[in-house]
Amino acid sequence: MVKVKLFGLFRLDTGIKEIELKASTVKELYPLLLDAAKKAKPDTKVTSKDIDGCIVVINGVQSKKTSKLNDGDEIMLMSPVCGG
Amino acid sequence: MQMRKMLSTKNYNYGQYEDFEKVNGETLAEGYNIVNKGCLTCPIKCARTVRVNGEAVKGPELETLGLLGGGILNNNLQKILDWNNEIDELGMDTISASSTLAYAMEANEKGLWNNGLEFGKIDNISQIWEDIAHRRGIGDELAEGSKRLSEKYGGKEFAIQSKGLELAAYEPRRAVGQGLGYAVSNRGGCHLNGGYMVILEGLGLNTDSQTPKGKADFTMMFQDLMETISASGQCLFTSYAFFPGFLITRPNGGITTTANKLIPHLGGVIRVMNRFSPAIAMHLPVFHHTKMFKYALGMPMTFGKYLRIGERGYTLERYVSMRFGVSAKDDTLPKRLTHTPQDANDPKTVVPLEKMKKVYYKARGWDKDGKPTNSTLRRLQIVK
Ligand code: SF4
Repeated sequence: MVKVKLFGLFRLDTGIKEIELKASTVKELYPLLLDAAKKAKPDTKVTSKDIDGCIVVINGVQSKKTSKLNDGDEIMLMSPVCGG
Repeated sequence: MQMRKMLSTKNYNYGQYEDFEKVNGETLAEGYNIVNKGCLTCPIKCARTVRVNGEAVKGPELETLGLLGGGILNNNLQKILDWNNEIDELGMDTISASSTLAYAMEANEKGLWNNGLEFGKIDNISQIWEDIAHRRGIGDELAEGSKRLSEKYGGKEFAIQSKGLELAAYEPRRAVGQGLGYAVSNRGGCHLNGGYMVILEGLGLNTDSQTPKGKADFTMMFQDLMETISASGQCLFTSYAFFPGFLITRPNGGITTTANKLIPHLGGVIRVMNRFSPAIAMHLPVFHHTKMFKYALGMPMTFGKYLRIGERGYTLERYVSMRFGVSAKDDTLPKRLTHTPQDANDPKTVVPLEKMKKVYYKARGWDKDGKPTNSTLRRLQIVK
């Protein structure tokens, strides 16, 4: 199991802050996350494109969607832009 | 910012704050934000309305969250909302107020100035803002700002300011172009007047944030564009739209990755565009400000002309500052940022300021001392 922490649109629209999922690569997480979003909020604005557009951080290090996951990893999916 | 280690933490000692999730935008939006407000037709609606003492008031901006959060090791978001309102009501700037407070906390910790202020100790801070505004007790000293305080008590290397103005929450050892901007900015350590290179170095795109390559020329272009945006009353936040959407929404895509790799190598191209800007006699498809300007005012406008107006304004400001004694010696950053690596194991995590400054002066047509040369002043029709 890996822990996924969510930010930006995903979190604000679905109310899911973090979720534990079973996956061996980041890419495998995406459909599971979309399912979770739809379960939490059937009319969610989150699309697969939004999830794909997030920046991926594994255990504090920026990573790719092809990156492999190990049991106990902490993954953050961050919004692609911020500032002020 | 947290992810990229560019979130000023404990007066810029670190770039990450372990409690950042307690004081970040999401937590604000979920638990504290009542409504987003803004200018009439703007879809961004950048202002937040929050509740303080039962009243709906303006909420904090990003810099304030960063500097009054991790900057002083405070993980209490409601306190930030309260302080933001108090500082606003007192007519002070939240960046300078919080950064000066962080300096004072570190000076106390290091035994340079026994003032009772400690990182993470947040009980009496509201009183401090009042005291600064009314110049009472310790507030009378804090009102001087971190530059003058460090001249009195020592610790210039951790008074996080440039030309007397405290820096914003972007830690430039992880965004060196932003560091150059803070140092050379006419206004002092201002993240916006500095050119906001951090937008390329992590906030919007993800170019190499440690390399000095290309940073000087992009800094000049962004400073000049923002100069005209500000001078014409347009909103700086809308300049984010400069980026084609797909670069932002597909951060992991092939085009974005290629753009990130390419940008540091485009310094020469940007130099030519800056120098011969009037030759760009067209609107750029991605930069709508020039068209808005034309439609609103009926004044013929092109991207090149827009850029040249900014260059002229920026140089004119420098020329005036020069008369008040400003030169290369003032285009500085505190030594913590230029000499102490943020990551002790990675000597590259400092701002290579002198290297970038040299290229920047050359790009601007300023001499080694940071003074616009006569030919530059003539080219921009500042002198005859
Ligand atoms: S982003 Fe600019 S135009 Fe939009 S609401 Fe904010 S200040 Fe107004």
